[in-house]
Amino acid sequence: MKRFIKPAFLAVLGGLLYLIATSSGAGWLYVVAAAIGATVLISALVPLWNVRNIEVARRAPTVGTSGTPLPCSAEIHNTGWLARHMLEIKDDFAGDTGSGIVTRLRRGGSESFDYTIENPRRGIYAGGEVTVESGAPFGLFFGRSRRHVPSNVVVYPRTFEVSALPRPEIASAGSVENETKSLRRGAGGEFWGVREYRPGDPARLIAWRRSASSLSSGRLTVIEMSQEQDSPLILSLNLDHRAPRTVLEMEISAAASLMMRALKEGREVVADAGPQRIPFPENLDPDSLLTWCAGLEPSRAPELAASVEILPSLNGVRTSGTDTIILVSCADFAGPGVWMTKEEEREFVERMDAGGRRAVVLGPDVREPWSLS
Amino acid sequence: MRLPMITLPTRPKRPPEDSIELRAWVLAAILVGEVAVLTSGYFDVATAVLAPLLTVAAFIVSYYRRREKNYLIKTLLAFGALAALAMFFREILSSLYDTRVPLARLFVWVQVLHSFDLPARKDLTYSLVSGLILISAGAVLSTSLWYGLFVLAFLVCALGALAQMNLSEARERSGTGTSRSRGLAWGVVLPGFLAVVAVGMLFFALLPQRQNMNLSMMPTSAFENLRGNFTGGVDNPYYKPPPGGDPFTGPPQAISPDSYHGFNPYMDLRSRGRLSDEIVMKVRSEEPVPYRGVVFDEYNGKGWELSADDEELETLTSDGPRFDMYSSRNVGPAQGSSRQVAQVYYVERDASNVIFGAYTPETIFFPTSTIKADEYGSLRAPYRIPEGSTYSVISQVPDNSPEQLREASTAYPDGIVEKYTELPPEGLDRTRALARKLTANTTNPYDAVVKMNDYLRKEYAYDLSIPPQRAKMDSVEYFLFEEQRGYCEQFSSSLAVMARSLGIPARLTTGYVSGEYNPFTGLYEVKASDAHAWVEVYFPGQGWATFDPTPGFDSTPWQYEAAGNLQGGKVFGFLAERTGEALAPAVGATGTLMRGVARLSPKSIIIAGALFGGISLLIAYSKKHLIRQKVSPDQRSVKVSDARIYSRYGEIAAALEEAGIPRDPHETPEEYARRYADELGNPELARLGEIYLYARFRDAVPVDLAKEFDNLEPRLLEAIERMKAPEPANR
Repeated sequence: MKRFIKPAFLAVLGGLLYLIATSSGAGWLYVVAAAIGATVLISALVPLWNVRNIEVARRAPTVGTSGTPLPCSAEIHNTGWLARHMLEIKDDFAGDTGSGIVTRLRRGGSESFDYTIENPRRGIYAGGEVTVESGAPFGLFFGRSRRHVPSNVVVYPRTFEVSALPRPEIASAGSVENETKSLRRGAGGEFWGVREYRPGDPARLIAWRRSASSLSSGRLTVIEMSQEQDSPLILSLNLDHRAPRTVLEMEISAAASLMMRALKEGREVVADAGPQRIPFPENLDPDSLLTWCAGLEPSRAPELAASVEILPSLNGVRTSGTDTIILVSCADFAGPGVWMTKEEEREFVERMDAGGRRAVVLGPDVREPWSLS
Repeated sequence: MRLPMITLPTRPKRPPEDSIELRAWVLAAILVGEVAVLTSGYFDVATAVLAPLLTVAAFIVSYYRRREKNYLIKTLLAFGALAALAMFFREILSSLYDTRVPLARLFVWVQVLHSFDLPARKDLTYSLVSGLILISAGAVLSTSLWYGLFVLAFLVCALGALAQMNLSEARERSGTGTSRSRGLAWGVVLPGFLAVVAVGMLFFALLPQRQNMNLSMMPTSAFENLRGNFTGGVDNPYYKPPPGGDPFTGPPQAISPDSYHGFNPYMDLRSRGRLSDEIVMKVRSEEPVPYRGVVFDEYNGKGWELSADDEELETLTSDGPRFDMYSSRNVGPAQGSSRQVAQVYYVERDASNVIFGAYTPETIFFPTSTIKADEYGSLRAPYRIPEGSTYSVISQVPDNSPEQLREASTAYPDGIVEKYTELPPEGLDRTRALARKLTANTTNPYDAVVKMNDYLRKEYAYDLSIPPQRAKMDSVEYFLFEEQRGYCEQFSSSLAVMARSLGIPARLTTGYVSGEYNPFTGLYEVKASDAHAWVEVYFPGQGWATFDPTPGFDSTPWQYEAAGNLQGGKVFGFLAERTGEALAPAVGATGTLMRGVARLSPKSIIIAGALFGGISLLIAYSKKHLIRQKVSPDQRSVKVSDARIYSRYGEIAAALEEAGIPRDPHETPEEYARRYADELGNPELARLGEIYLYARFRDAVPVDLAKEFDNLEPRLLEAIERMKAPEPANR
């Protein structure tokens, strides 16, 4: 609406001069009024043509981090018959907008310019909408054309240095220092179990006798060994879609920071992000972890059943019921709201306990030394 | 009691504008606006010089102080604005009838003051609007076609400022800094300007243009309180008083090309010359009416004279420039139907003391306290009206229809019969007979006058080149029966005399026809050669009606063409005609063609233009298409020199192959050339391959390359021969 003020003012002024001309009979005033009319008309029509036959390609990094400026560049190509002028390019990409100006783009010519997406938002993007806008020649009206310009980028959540991981302590159980370690599949000396042979398994682990007994099925069986390791970091994220976006981002950032720290320490990491969660990556490395975090979307509050199912998805982690599920909640970051209430959180924890697993809430129930800096 | 707290702004509301280019465009636009106003002829030289200089200085100051709070400057500007306002009110109170000049002066000084405080882009926008107001004020003041240059210059600068403003805003939006905007003037402003001019012309042509005027405040020049006595007789600076006082005793006086001899107390019919095409006045009029000057009532066989003495003229006085004729005893009550037509006269050349105005003048705005009116409704100024004068007249133009005039009675008042039917007693027998013959079958004066009017228009030729009257006889008889061609005074005199011979009151009137309408200025441009004479015939109850017996002229009120609302439609014809006139000496044929085109209606010009443009585009497209086909690489003809080099290079390649240096299939010609040059021990020989490539893939080989080829070819063949030669025995 603000953009119409200038042409409206000019049109009114032209009309006023025209009225004065009719009462004063001044011929040149008619000329001035006609020139104003022509200026408004040309200003209205030229921008529509000016943004036609413009092709845009974007060059952007494949990975970025939320909140860290993302350097991009765009190449504008004029496929029209005549030169184009005063093109404003706005790139709605990676959750923010970058923009640049091309003053003149000659016929058949190309022009590149660099711009920065100052504050990219976490996510997995396949491209973004580029708006080519022009107010040429006189900036009274603007022509606009939008197109989707593909380019893949994954914007990781922002992560922080974590001084230490949370040590879950349940008041009723007292100190459970030793419970932070458990047996897991590994290269230790103890027997863990058997499973079907997979290509790449060392031959020395083949259980020949067992394989022979099931020879008719034509399958080999291998022995798996166990190893004592730190207990896994299990997070359950409440990405309630009703929570403010910033809260969810803080939640994901906190969760990602914790998981990165755990991964650095060599601990198993697993997480659940609600009923509509995307599968947690099996072969975990920082990139796959952060990419999973980048892809998280708001969903319903975590359900007990879903969170209980985290354990089977641990894919081989033997927990014997001692691993603690840490609930990363909206309430912890945003305070009370329409999302999971404190009572619901408590119910969640109690029902987990009743199901044989311990659960704690990241905030009040998890004491120092965990902290985010 | 607590006083309200006044807080001063701690920082400017808007960010300062750093673009010097934008400031330069706006300054240029404002300067054009100021100069356009200041050169309109209403301002003194000091103002015309000082205002633009101050504006430039103000722009410099406001640029350097754009980040400051400028409390002192703002305070001074407020006082300055109050002073300008006081000056405006003082001036306007002294000239209530024309507020244009005081308003324009106020605009100029407000603009100068405002220019001192332009920190932000928005302030520059206001300044640009102010420039537009200035150019509009100038448009109201200007009567010249040259004002178009100011309009065009302002348009360029204002469009440049708008484009630069758009760029600055875009830069602000995208967060890019201020830098020079290369190519803006040529890439955006110039094409934009041309497009605006083209579309603006079309708009102007289609824009309804009403010629209404504010009748309560008609423009005049600066008022002069002249109450001194003056005779009121016609005083024309271009004619000396006749020797002996009687102009008809001797031979006819020479005619001045600059002023019509009918703007005198007498009019000699015995000779006439051509009048110049110099513009004598410009008239803003609601209708293209004839501008009446002097009325003659006494025919003496050689010409016309005024029977009334100067003493009989009535003096009209006023405290201001307005004179209402209804209070004049000389002007009889309006008869018949009439319509109001207002006119403003801009005098372009020194003139006589005759105040022109369409018949019948009702209200006159003349810049003196005294004027005079004769019994015919003609007006006189107390001085010869100098160039640059402006005055206005509101007239009640007779609007009687032919039916009304036909039905008018023949009961003429005695005073009218006595004064307007008088003729010399001798020398007009044939004229009387002709009049009777022509009107034999008519039943009323109107039909009789029309019959004689039509006869003169059809049977006699208009010719300004006839020699002075040779025979000593009545001038009307001489025209009607001897020369049988002549000028407007002769036609009109003939009609008036024939009407008088039948007892119909008639008189001769001189003045100017309406002139050529200039669609840009909205003014009728009246040339000296537009001077004309016509006849007024009296009809009881209807008043004086105009008849024009001269072929090619028409001053009859009911046949005035209404000006209409699409006067701008004449713009193309006007431009074509003016361009044709300008080009005529150089390209006569083109000028003639353009004048011919100018006579077409605007619609025909547009259709013809569209057809011409379409055909031109078609030809251009076909030509481009054909040329593209012609120059396609497959069909490019091979030059002789190229073909010669191909065949010679083919021979060189064969010789190399024979010498054991064949070209590998994967090698480009250049690679092959470098290889054989290396193997032959002379890198210069690689140039042969380059020249071959030039001949093969580019245009004709230049002479110097062909010579180089001629030079290198034998050296290469020698090298091959040396290579093929058996090695010395001692090796």
